[in-house]
Amino acid sequence: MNIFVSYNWLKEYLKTDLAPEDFASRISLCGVGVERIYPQGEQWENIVIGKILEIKKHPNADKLKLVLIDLGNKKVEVVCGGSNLREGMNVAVALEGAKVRWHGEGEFVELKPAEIRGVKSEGMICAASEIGLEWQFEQKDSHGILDLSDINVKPGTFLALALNLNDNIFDIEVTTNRPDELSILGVAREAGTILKKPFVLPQIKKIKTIGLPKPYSIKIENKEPELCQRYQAVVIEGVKVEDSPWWLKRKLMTAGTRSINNIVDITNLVLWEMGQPLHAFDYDKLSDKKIIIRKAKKGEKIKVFDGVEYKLGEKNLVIADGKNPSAIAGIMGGETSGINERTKTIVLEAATFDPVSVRKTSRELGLRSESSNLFEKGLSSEATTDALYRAAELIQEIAGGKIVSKVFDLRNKKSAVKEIVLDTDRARKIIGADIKTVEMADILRRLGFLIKIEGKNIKAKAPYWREHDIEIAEDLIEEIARIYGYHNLPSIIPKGAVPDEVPDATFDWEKKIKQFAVSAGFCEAVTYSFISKKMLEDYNKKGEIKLANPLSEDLEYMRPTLLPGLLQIARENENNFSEGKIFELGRVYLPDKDLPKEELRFSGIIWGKSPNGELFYKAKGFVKEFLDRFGVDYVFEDHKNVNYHPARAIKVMIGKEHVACLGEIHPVVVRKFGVESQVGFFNFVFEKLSPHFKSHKTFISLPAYPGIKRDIAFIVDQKQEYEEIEKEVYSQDALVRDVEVFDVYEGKGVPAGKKSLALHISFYSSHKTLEAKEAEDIIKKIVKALKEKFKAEIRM
Amino acid sequence: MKDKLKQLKKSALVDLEKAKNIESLQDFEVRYFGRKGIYTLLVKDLPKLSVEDRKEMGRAANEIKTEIQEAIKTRQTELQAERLGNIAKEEWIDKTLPGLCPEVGHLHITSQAIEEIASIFTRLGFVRRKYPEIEWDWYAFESLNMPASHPARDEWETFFIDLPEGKPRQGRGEKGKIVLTPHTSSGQVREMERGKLPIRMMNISKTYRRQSDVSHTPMFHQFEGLFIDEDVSIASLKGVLDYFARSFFGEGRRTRLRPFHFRFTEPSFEIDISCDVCGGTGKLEDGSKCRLCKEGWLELGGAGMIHPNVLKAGGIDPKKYNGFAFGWGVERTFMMKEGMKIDDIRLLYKNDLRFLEQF
Repeated sequence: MNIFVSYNWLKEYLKTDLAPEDFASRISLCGVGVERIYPQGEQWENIVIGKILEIKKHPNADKLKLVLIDLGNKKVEVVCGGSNLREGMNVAVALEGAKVRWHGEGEFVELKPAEIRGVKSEGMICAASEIGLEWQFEQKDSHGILDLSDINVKPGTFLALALNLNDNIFDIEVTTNRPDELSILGVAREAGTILKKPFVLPQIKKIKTIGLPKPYSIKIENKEPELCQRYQAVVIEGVKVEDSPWWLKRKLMTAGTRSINNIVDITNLVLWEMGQPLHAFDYDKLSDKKIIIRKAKKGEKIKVFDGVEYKLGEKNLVIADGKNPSAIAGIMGGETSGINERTKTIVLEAATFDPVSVRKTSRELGLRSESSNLFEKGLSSEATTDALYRAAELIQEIAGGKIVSKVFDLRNKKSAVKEIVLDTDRARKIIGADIKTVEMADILRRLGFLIKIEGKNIKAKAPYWREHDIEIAEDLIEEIARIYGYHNLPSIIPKGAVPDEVPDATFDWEKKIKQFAVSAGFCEAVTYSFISKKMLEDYNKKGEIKLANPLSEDLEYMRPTLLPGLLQIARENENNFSEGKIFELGRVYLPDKDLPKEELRFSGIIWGKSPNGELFYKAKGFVKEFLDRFGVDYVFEDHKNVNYHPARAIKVMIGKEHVACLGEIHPVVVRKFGVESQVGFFNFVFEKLSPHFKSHKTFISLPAYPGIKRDIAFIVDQKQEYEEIEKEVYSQDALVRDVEVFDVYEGKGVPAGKKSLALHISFYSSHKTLEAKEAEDIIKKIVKALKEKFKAEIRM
Repeated sequence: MKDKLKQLKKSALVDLEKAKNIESLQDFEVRYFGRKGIYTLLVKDLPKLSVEDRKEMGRAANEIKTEIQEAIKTRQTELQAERLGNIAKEEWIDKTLPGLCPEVGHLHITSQAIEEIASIFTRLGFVRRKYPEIEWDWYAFESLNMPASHPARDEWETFFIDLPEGKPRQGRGEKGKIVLTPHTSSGQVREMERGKLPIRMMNISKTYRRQSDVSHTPMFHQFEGLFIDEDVSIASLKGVLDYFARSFFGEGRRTRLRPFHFRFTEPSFEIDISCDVCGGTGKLEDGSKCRLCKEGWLELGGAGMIHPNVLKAGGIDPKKYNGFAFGWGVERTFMMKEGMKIDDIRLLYKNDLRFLEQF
């Protein structure tokens, strides 16, 4: 949560002459995180105050005027269409290089010299909206220019200076535990502690309730003391509701708040200044002259300002009059009882609402405000009195009126702040620096704590504005350490024993698998763990682990398999890449009796063309290389699955365990995913595979004697599986050491329904050099066997 | 015979000169010394001669053969030299054509980042562990000092698992709802429950939050470090973080701890690292504001001294032991290192090969 803090405003309560940048970096290090500094004046560079000397007709346009303006050191002539121009008026003149927004719309652009209807214009007389001041200055009609005649400065003065807009605005991040810092005084107090500079509170005048002319009749009832810990109110009669003075508008402007009228502006001013939200009701609009703090009734509605209506539920806390809700407690006031020019008498409220209740209502209604933002972080019920007094005083000062009631104060219970004992030796150990006990105590004291030093212990009571935040001794250690400065602490590599633990081997295997896949030309993909219902259906799966609050329908379930995600990648890439190889190593999520089971999978796809099962063979070859590399003993077996090609899928078995599938995805499934290519795949269950990985390597001696290689080619039935042939060849003689198929051919020269196979066959003996004749004899045996078993026709 | 041999030698040496390349030299050799070569046919007549003549002619024939063959060798060397001298012309290729690239894959940048980060902390004795991504609310929040109604939970934008009613799950109610881990801190109490001390643990895992825009993906990766021992100080947390920053980002980069607030640590910090683009000044050379950082600093992540309530939840006596924890987004950190500005972070998980192949 961020807050805009004006440096000038801050300086009203804090004595500092640091440059804004230095101030920001000093306080950032100790807890007040300044994220950005906005030099306010920059927005109005090259805009000056000018006095209109003379207004003439434009020679070529009826609606335009030529205006002669005194800029102090020079006079300029400007073309202007303003409807309210008059001689002697003070106006804002934008000169070359100024940032303006044409007709108050769109982005700010830099002003360039221009010729308007044939006459050169040396600048531009601005309307409020053209220079971003529409929130601060009323603009009666679209042609009305900003009238600054009230401002008594010399012509030529920079606008920012004339309007006191030469401030620096700090954009400060405030953590949720520190609502006290969401205010000028809170920041001033922190900064004062950090910089060791004096911090002064505003003078708060106590409201005098003795000798009131006639006590106003109003009845306040709190039906929800748990949700509203304190409710204070006072009636002020005879206020004059009007536009706020410039200084007030300017202060609200620095906080990013729009000016409404003097009463509302004062409540907002106190909100920013003291961090306590206030609200003002129009007394005359309250039915039965009652204020009841209660929960909304079923079906009750409230219109907030801007005319938006909200339906309330029975859990929402409201401030109601005798009949209807007048405000959503702590969030926003209703339109009916709101303050407008006709308001004469007001009820000023300062209350403390339950953070959880405010937060829930705000979320439920989708309605947030500066006020709800403060309340939901938890405010102290101690804070209301000063805020009420300050606002009441300012209202009487600015809007007139008189206090005509006692200060109503309905209070549930006083907040009790408990004493915390800090062992300073322990604090020094944890902080890692030798901070003296008195220094610790001093830091806490400056932060508003009540302190007692007893030996090595400090007994501390937190100030009321920290009552929700300070709970244990560690909280005090934090206060001390941060104000002392984390940057002042040494940086030490920790000593002590390194845990005596063998690392989980899984991580190493994962790394090796990834490296292997990458070396084989696969790109690693990382896809979302979510999956849509449609993708599951297209992959013939049911969603079993569903999100209660998915971001969108596309991300509704937790994936039970990696392959659909990979297929989607194929679809999105195949326009740019006619072939591709990707893999993913990630978890899938399967239902289990307790938490879902998170199973690591290693899956990959290859997309491209596969008229003769090329992609199947690529997948199979990859899997073979992979398993060999990781020392796994396995066999391939036939496999059928609705998602896999009926003729092009197999599984990997280790013993009796099915650890993987590979082959090609069923063309029907591929089409459902919108993929035009064919898709080869592999899919491993990591946990089933990893126990079989071997990290040690074995060595097989190289052949001591030269071997002999022979090639053989023959024609067999097209459907004859190679594996049987290979087995047969090996079985002919122990000297057959290697059989490798190097050509499979169908087509011209080979009869229909047949295929030609060509093999390299290698012969080795481990104790002698083979003679050619020995090889020839085995080849003869092989030929004979092939002829007998497979009706092979030898081509040699 | 003698004349014929002389004649042969003469014509052979002339023919040899005519051989202008290796191929014609081979032809020449065949023509003279092949099975039906001129020389071969001539010496076939030797047996017809008298013993004496045979002896003399035989020797002469041998000498001529040796002589011609020497000449062939010389010629061969000449021709080879000539050919090698010409390869610049004869074996010209277009060197500007692209090379034949080996097929190489690419590791996802997240994997690269994880490896790099993990290796740095391994050197400090941290051991990597795996914990669930789908987890009990207890581990994700409750045990981390964040009771159910706590507003701090809002910041995590948590995904919940839809548990069908009437399908009771063991442990439900006891450990609350089931969530997708919104941070790796959910591994802290699980690690403590293992009951082994001291602890130096790292947990790098997928994490999930309900956010998707140019700078957020609903799934991302976080890194978590957990350190528990006796008498652990903020100074040693600084030591560990500085070591990481120097190892990962380079010697020139500075870190700072800034006070922050997390429910599960006390004190809590945010870790900032000096911006590389503006050199930590917040201003570019032309005096304009650096758009990458905040006044010279970039947020790296969060850290803090473990809250006593968290230690208690993990069964550790906070009077005897204490420690620190820290964590940050892997993707963000990696991009900060590379000074990489990916205009839409969701590209990371779109898996466009044109993207993946850049890393």
